[in-house]
Amino acid sequence: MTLARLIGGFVLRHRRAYAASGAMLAVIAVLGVWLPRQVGHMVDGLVAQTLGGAALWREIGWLLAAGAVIYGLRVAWRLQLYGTAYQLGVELRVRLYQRLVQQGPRFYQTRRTGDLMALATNDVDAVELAAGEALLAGFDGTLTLVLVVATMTLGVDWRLALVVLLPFPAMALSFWWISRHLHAASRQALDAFGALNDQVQETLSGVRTLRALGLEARSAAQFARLAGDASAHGLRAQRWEAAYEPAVGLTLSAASVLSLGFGGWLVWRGEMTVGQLTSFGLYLGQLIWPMFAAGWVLSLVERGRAAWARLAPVLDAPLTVDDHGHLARVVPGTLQAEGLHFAYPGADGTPAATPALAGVGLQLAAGQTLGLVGPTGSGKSTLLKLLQRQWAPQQGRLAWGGHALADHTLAALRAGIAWVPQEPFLFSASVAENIALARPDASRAEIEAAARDAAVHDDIRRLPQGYDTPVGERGVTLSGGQRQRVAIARALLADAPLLLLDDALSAVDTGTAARILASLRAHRQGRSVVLVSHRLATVMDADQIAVLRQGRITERGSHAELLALRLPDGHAGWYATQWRVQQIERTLLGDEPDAPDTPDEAAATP
Amino acid sequence: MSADKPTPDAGERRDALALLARCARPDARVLRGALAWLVLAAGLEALGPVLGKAFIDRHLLPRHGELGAIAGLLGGALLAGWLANALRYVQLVRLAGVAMRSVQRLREQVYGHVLRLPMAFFDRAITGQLVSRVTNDTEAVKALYVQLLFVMLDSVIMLVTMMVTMALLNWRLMLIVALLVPAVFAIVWLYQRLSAPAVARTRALRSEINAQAAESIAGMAVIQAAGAGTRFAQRFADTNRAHFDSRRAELRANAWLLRPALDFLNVAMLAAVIAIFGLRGHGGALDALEVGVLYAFVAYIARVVEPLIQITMQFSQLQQAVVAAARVNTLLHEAAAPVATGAGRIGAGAITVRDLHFGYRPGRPVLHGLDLDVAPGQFVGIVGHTGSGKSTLLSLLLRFYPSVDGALAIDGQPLAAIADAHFRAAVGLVPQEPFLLAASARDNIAMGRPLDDAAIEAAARAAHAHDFIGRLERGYDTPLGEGGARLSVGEKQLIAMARALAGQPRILLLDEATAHIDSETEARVQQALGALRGRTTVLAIAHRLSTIRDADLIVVLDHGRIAERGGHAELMAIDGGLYQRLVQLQQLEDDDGGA
Repeated sequence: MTLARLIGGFVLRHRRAYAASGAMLAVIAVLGVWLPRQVGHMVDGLVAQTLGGAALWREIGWLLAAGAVIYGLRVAWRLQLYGTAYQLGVELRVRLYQRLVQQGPRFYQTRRTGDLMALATNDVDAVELAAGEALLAGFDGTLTLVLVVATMTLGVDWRLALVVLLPFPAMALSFWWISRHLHAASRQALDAFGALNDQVQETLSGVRTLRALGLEARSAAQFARLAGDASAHGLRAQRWEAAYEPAVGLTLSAASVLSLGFGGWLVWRGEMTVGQLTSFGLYLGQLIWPMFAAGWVLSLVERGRAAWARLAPVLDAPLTVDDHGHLARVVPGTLQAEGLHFAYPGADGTPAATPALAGVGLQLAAGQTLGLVGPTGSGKSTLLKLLQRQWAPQQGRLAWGGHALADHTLAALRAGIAWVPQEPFLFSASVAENIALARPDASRAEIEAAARDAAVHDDIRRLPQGYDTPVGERGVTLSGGQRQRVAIARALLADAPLLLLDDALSAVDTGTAARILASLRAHRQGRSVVLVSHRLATVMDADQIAVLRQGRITERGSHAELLALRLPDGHAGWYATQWRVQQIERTLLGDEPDAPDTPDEAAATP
Repeated sequence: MSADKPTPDAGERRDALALLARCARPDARVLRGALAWLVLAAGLEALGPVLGKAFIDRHLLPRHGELGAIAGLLGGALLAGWLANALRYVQLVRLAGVAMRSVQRLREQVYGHVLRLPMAFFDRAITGQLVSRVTNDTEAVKALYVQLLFVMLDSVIMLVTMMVTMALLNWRLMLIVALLVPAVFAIVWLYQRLSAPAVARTRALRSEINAQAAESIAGMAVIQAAGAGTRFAQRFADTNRAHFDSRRAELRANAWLLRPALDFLNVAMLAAVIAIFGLRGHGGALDALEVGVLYAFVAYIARVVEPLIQITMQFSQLQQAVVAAARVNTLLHEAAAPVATGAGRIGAGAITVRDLHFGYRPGRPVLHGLDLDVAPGQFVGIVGHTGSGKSTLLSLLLRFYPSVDGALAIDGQPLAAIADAHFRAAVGLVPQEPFLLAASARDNIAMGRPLDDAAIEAAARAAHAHDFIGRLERGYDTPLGEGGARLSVGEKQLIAMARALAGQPRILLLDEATAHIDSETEARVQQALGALRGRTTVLAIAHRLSTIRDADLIVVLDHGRIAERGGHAELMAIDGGLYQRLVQLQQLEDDDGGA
């Protein structure tokens, strides 16, 4: 769909508002042309001494009445037209958001957050401007131009009009020229400012290295150069901006003198009155707006089209998650995976050469706990993502309770699974609202119970407003461990038959982690749990433990079995080796709490 | 930072404005010159209608057809109009230049000041906010300069000139027109009063929309997993709806009180002038009030209303800029780190640590009384688990944080007694994350120091970086790109090593410089370090114990205390010792292929 079709469709839907605004603008334009005529007429009356007393007051009354009507109509069309155009912005933003909510990770993999944000803000604004200001200015400008020129030629004197209008095309041309350069210069100024911002960001983030190398003077010099660039480009933009005035001024001076000279000659010959000459001067002023509007509309439309070219593909992008299932509820039962193969798509969309999962098979009975361990990048998180259908396996089968996962609706699956991601994410809302994310109707008692099970209740109570304390980006900053425990409470409250914990206890100290695991066991009531962890102590009590290495399950069994496992070459298995490593690490660190060694840690500790 | 208070008090406001005036001061002469020219331009602009009036009153109506005089009048009017426009344009661009230069001065001052702040400040500060102070807030100040110098000044001059000219033509009529000034002020004041809540609300909702969008995109997987997509979309739509309503409220104030109202004033003023004119005519004073005056006044009214609108519209934006300036000013008042200017010199490079205690926050000590003597030219390895105090010791040696007098000394002199430039030249650092400039390999090694090619190449050879630099397509002139994008981590590390060696430091500090590099590069770094033995004092923190295996002395830190010290063989002989266990741990990890 093109921008013209989008705006056309919008105007059609809001045709009454647009038609009413158009009608009002037309009346204003007519009155606007009438006003100078009236002034000219009155001046003539005064000069000829024919206008006075009651007649003068009546004429002045007409003048004021016209002014008042124009005022009222101007207010009314503004409310109508802009109010309507604002609505387009709302519609586009909401449409974009609804689309984003339906897209899966495959969509987000190829797009940067900053770009998507820019779509929702700047680009939507640009389209809205094209539907509001540009449409208005285009209509009003054309109308005013036609009426004023018509009045000047037909109503006053066509010869004078012809002569006086001579300089105006030059004004329109220079407006167009200036607006193009101004746009380009503003872009460059923005880029220069961006470069300055990047330099400051880079050097202030690396201030330790900078200082150790004694590079302050060099950075300051580099900053001065970039600030100079920003300033030079800013000045260039300002110079173009300032050029609008002389473009008006030079043309208008020329036109005024032409009108005085040629008009004076006509007055001299008695073919025109002084009053008409006065009104001519007023008309000249009215021609500035149509000239300006021409250039302005062009640049607004240009910007709107560029913005729409970015917006449309995202609004129309095909959904990256299939939702063709027919089962509206999950039947908790055995979770089964057979021969799962999966490779993340590369930049070109085709699967990468190294698969993340290469033939993984698993079976987890209802109510059982599976521990999933292995080195970083071995495919643990990927497996959890496939279970949630964030991605679809290229080969293999996933089933739950005897039904293929793909046969469920996404909503059913999401209701059946509670997932705690590696990086806990808290929204800008109260702690209670964050915990109740999946169940907004949960009572305070239920929320507190979940928080107790996640061993975060006491932490929350110590916050300034307890459960009502705002957290997230614009709230109180919680420590990494506290965030993880809030995320766990969130998952527990969801009360789903399958719980996925993706290294969700990594920032929680060992004692607290053990307490959370114990309460998980106590309240599981048939809930299956998949527990991914780097800390083997976390999974040692699981019903079964699987070791993933390079996308394959290399070891599988209970804690005791895995410790006893010997590889064909006689070495201990990965699990047993890691267990020893982690034991030594524990003795090295001792049991006392770690003192912060870096200022960052010191600042983060509450 | 206290700098985030929403509204500065009157004192802070005054200080902020004083700061802005200081930054503009070097341009005071340009400013005065531009001012004078602008007054002249406004005068010329006012001349046009006067000449028009003269033409009507002296020639057109009395029918005095002296062609020469008429041509003079009209030519004069054209010339005056064009000259006024050209002059104004040139002067306004000059003023914009003053604004840009003033902002640049302010920026350089702020950035320079930030670079001088103590390291402890950066630990507390949020980098994003700090960056915003240096760039966004100064950008807001730029808007203030531009508006103040470019729009306000020009408008005021224009307004005053027009008023004076009108007074000269007919002071009674001028007084009528002068009524516009309070009227416009009243309308805009009313507008700002009525719209301020809506404007603030719109702005708040707008940032709420942005925040929701950013947050949702970042946390989309969590929203979807919780099945909260529809609810969040509804919430987003509600916020958008509230924003829409608020914008409409703003629009109402805007529509009723701004352009339409001001345009109506214009018409009313026209009516008033004509009415006065008409009344005078009947009172028999028409001679005094010539028709030409009416022509001129009609032309002037528009020229008075426009600058008035400009002036009044700027007020609210000025407020915001002053708030930004006040924030910048607060940052400038943060105490800078003291600049060491002592006469101490680093010679042989002996390091003495005596009973060193340190903590980033009171009551939370990190180092508990370290004692250490490093002889000149010695190679000392420091190991320990995370949180043992290794990095802290290095930060203190680098003077990032002030240590207690006498606890740290180089060649017998307290750290603070050594001047900054000399200290940075004599103490080199190879950091864990090498910081590369978007510049050539040569520039990245030289780092602005006056080094000849031979010295740079020698340093690269010593760091074993010469070979791979030679293989780059343009050798030492090859641009390395932003952050050294085209080099491997190991290669970047070797460049950083060459950079440190090029300064021929007396003391070289390595902060886990081998943590992320392959064993081949590590071997090269080891060779480079071996070659320094006896000439440069080397203190190396190493996560990889192989890097410091050959050190003259290995110090094992544990919870801020020195637990063990000695040579590799010596420490390995302590059964159950920390070092032994660390080595064991690393062997297990290495066997496992780097889990």
